[in-house]
Amino acid sequence: MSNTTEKALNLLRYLPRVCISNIRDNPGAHKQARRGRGQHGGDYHGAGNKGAKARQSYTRLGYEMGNNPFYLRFPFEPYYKGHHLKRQYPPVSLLNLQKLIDTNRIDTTKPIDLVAIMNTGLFRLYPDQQHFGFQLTDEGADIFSAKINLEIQWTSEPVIAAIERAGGFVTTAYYDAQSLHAMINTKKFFERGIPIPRRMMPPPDAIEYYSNPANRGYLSDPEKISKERLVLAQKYGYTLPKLDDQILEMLKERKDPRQIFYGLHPGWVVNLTDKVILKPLDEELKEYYAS
Amino acid sequence: MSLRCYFSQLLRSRLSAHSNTYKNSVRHATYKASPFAEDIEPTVKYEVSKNPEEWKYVERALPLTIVPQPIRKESYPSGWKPQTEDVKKLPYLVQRTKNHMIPVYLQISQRGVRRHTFVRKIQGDINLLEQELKEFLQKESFQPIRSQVNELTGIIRINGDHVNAIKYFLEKKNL
Amino acid sequence: MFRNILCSFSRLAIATRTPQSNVFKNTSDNLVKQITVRNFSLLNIQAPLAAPKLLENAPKPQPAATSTRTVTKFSIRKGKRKSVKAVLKRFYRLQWGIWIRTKAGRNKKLWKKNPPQKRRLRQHVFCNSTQSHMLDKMVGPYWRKPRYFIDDPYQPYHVRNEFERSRVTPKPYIPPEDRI
Repeated sequence: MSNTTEKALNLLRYLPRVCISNIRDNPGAHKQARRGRGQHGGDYHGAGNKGAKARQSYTRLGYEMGNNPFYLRFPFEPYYKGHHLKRQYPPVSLLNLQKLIDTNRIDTTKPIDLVAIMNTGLFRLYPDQQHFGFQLTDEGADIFSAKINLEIQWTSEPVIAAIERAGGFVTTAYYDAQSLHAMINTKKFFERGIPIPRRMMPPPDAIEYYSNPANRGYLSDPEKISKERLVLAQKYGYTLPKLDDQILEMLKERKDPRQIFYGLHPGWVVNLTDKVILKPLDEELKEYYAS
Repeated sequence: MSLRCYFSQLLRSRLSAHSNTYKNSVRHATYKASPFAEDIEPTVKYEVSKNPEEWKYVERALPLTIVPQPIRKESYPSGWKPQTEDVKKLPYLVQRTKNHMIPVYLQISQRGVRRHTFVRKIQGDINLLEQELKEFLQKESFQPIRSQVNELTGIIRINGDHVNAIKYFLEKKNL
Repeated sequence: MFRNILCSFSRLAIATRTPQSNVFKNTSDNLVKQITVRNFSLLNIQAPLAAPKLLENAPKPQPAATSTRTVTKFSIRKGKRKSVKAVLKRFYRLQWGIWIRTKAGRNKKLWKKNPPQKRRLRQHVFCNSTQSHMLDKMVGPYWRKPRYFIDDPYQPYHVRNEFERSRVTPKPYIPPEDRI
């Protein structure tokens, strides 16, 4: 018996049932059908005799032989006005978040921010397409139950109520495009070797949202936020649960308005190979990054 | 005489606008004259700090390289269920994906007309699983359930959108 | 050669200044006079070279703005597909594949239209499948991407799971024990 047949028989012993649907002929057994190309392939190269199709002289897409075409018959409507200026927030639902927590993709013992969500690898964000972070939608608000310290870019009232009823905290924070690029791929950002930038202030049309305690904005007064928590609890009919001291410290952790990563200050350079952080000593730079 | 020269220059400059750019080119540096590039020390003063507490924050910001294993809990509010040990008793196995999800997918083609449900990663007696699935789905459907088995790749393809029905069937068996 | 060029310039000037007089009527003496005048006028920077007063306030000839209706499949510079702007001014794409439009004549002759007619004209309408398919081809992939605006009036319409043909996600299953 030849070497190839032996190998083939050995393979057969290992594979499951072989039938017509999972085998194929040896290469060269069937001749490929000629499509009509080249000198001997065909006179008309698969295009038939004469006509616009053979001569590639089609009328343009949408043309209706001279009468007013469909795509020009109707009046203007500013559907897409300002589409390139408005901010976009791709949705993440509470159900998604709960699934991540259930499957242990996200660590609830630490604060959850955009970095944590991006590190799961399950969500994509494109800052160059005017994406400014994620918005939390209320799908799964009924079943949500996890004590988390969440920082998101946009939410609505029922979502905040659902998280606070479960015993967690929500904050809405703004990140500019440069900060987003740093957060989306933190490894790539640290490898660039540039100092962590300061987070920029939100634009004029967003400042109102982020300074409003009802939205749990990061620029609003913490005392007003605690008052709003009570108001929301009364509105949706639940009592604010008591929190353990162990978790309370973690739940209280908040970022500075100019900070991008937890625990890392702007102006620092992270060296991943030497596992070292470089901090500036110049007074000017320190002042700038602290402002 | 001077007038002529002036006028002729004007004309030439207007007629040959391109050729002037090369006449007045000056080379400010040459390859041979310029020195080699050297490593410049940073002029900014910085300190190198090795604080293990700060480094914890850096590690927290970096992503995990492997999908973490799920932890056993009493209840999962989202409706997700893990695969249990009694799965070994069955004659077939539908292995979970690397994200610990059930491998049942919907394929839509022909501009929304054709819908096929795929069950992947099947090991063991695939024909028995196909029979059971057909029985289960036929109860709900008036049309005959058409399916195809590919034993080599461990895939069952069923015509129609039965993704959630099949997921319910498999979850009942703790697969 | 130099003189010939000058002559041609001066002839143009003569024609524009005095349109009624025929160029060919001018004698060579007159031409010479005008040439000498022209030379000095060049030196005097005050007066422009050719300032025909008749055409001062006339509109400047502009190249006719022709609209391009063709779909460019491979652009000259980047080799990309280009969108037809006329489509984006009149239609809007919903994420499940349909395009919507306004009705023709919604702002015209409203005095003779009765209220239900006016209401129908104000509504936005679907395009059919063939039309939507054609509009998809006339527009680049940028316009088929989902948009996630806040307070978008069209946000509820980008998903149409009520009908099987437009469903994107798998249809839900309620087990027999949970059914009413």
